[in-house]
Amino acid sequence: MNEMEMLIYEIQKAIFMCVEINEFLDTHPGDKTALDDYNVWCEKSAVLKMEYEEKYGPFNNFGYSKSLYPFEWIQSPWPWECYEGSGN
Amino acid sequence: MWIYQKCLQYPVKIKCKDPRMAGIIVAQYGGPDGEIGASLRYLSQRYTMPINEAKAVLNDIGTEEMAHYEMVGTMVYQLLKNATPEEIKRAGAEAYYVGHGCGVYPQSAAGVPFSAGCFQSKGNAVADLTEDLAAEEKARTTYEYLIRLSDDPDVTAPLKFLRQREVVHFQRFGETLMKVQEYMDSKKYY
Repeated sequence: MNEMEMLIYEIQKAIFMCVEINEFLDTHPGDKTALDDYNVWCEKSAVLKMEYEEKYGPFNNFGYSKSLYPFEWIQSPWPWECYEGSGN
Repeated sequence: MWIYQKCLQYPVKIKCKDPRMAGIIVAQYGGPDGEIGASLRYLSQRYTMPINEAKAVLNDIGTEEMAHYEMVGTMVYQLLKNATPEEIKRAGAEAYYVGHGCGVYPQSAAGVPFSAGCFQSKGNAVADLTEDLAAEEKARTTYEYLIRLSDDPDVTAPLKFLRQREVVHFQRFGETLMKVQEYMDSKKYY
């Protein structure tokens, strides 16, 4: 894994925690402990994404991430493309 | 509305082509128990849910299934990428190749194109949620069958993740059904 892949993996882990706790909270909206955890992972995701965006460009589209010139959003790698060390 | 995050929910990095496996894993891309069916089912059912917990669960799990749809599509893409006609023939994957080359297309493992006939949105919360419980178990079982059919860890790792998510979703839908039933019962007291 190169540095970019390692950072993306950290982001994937943080986003996963957010998704999992979000879905739990959907059926347990009164669980304060879970809600506090959710907000901690929201914050962690945001910090990791900010680090990613400083180094590699926009992480989201449709206005959620700004871009330098020329429009960075179109750049590879796209998520279905593998990175180094593979035939893909 | 949806926006997009430029990463998969879980990594898919398949080093070895396998057109045979691609034609089988496509079952979860366009088959009756696959991810797009799950997503469209939940996103369709969410409109007529009577309580907020149910609207949220269907909205959010429906959205997560789209992320899974993307993972499975990626697996099919990587398993087919740069396959030669000889490799396609050796894998017995000619029928898919003739229809779609090395492209990604939503069909079952048997070649039946995706159809909304594989799910319902009945406008009744109890019927819909009961269907959703069954759907998650069908998907889980399908992932178990797929895992048995591959011995490539690059392939089985994302499949095991996706299988585990079905188990969690089953749990969430069970909780939602109970809450809907409590709500329906509470309306009977005057």
